[in-house]
Amino acid sequence: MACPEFEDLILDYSEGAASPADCALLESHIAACGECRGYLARQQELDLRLAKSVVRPALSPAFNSNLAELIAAQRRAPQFLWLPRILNAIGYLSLALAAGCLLQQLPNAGAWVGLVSIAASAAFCIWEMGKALRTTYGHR
Amino acid sequence: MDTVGGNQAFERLLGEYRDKVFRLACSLLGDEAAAEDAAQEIFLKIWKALPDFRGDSSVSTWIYAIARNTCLTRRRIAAERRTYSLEETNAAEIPSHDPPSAADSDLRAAIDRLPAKYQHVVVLFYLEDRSYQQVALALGLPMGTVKTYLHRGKKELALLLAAQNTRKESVIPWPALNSKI
Repeated sequence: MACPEFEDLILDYSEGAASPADCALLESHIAACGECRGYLARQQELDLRLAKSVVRPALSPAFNSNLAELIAAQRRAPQFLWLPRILNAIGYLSLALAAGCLLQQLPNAGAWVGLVSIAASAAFCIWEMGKALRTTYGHR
Repeated sequence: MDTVGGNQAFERLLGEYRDKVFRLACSLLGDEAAAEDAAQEIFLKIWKALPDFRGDSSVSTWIYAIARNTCLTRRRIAAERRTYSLEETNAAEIPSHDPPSAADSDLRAAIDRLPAKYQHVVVLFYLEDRSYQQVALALGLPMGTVKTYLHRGKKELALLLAAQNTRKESVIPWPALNSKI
């Protein structure tokens, strides 16, 4: 085992991530410490084995054409893309309308608050529908 | 030139992130074919969501978040399927890797035995040419955490390899055993 205070520094060093000052400190330490010297050698060997064993994989040459086919299939059947957004918008609109109707029952300011709430929900609904259309047809 | 998705912005993202996303998927799924399949799904999601991307986070953060979520969902579904098939048929688990070469089979076996969070960091660190920054960005972890997981993973890996060597040395090969009887 390495000296505990040098263990992480040895790992940094074997990964090439130690600062010049830390490198100098470690090199002077390992010159005198056989345990840390052995630990460093084992870590450097492990680092080399990992670099050799974990090789960068390559995507198949058909990746882009397969993706293009998937996208084309999505374009051919876009009719349901807008559905969640429309349902979401209708849900918000119903809630806001219900709140507006309730508020309109109140005297004085209640009617105005209700009207503002209905107008805001209508605007939000239009905005959501715009997003739905953009999701469906934005790429065309 | 024919474009994928017919959208220049998407085309640029695909060119820049295609391989990085694939490597992240490889480190999270541990299987190249599954990773390529996941990468297709990830870029399809990106293509669909791109018109709504408002730039609240950086593009890379957004793409890697989609990639991680997709891979983790796939892992969960695969794990559930394995559980059900074991319960129903008691069949042996089909290995997800191709058989490793003899030279690095011990190392691969040891990597497979690491806790998942260390395994992902260790594999991705070497896939990304020893870049802490790229690993941190791809896995959505602070750089300090990446370093901690990497060091813990490598310490554990060294112990696992040492234990494997000890086990091998303690096993007497059968011709030698035969001569002793």
